[in-house]
Amino acid sequence: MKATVVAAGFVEFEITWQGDVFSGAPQQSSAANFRTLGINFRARKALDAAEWNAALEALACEVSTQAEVEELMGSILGADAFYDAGDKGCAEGPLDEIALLVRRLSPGQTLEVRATDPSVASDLPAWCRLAGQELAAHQGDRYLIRRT
Amino acid sequence: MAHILIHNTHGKDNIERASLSFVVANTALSSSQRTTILLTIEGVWIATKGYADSLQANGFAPLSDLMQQFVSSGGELWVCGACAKPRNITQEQLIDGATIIGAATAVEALVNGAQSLSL
Repeated sequence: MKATVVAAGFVEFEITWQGDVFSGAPQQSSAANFRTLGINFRARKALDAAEWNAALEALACEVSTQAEVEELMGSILGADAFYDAGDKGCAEGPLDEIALLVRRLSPGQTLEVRATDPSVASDLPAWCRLAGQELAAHQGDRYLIRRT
Repeated sequence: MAHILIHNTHGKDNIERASLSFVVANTALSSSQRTTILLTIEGVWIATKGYADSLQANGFAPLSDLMQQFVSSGGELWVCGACAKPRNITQEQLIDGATIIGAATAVEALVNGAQSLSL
């Protein structure tokens, strides 16, 4: 977001408030899946081209950090859908949610799952074999499931 | 070869049941059967390093000896992730050969014909 605002000619971008504004709302579950927060931010128009260029250069130094943040919030394996199970283990139902999301895919489409609980490394491949789905890739805490 | 799945729910709360799990499992291994011990509830403590060192039930070999025989003979030790988590047990605390698993892994074994015995 900062990149978008600065690219539009603004400087001194600052998030002044952020909070959970979706709890209890009709779209709560979708918001939770995407870690959606409500935010307030402020920025001002650059005084001149020099100031704007300085802001753009400073932004370039932050790109790697922003990439890391975006990596945590979406697919890095080019999937059609993404689900962040966080550290949920088997007692907290991530497979039930994954099963639901895979059923919504069309055959051939993929769901990428991020899951850090150690039981998932054993359980997700087992679930794919049981449910007849393809585990197309597994890298660290990322799993790519292709609907058959 | 059959797959023998021994399910143990006990640790220090019942050392005899825990020991018997490994006695049966070691018998299955010496009979050339694929053998897995599934540790759940208090049983998950058994897979943590050092926990079994001083445990011995009356009439049984020391639990650590039974476990050593089990692991060195190729037995698989499955640790219920849902039971380990609330006890703050992590993979790093487990003995070599122990793996944290979830329900789907156990279900798959049963679907594929594993014969189970719960203690």
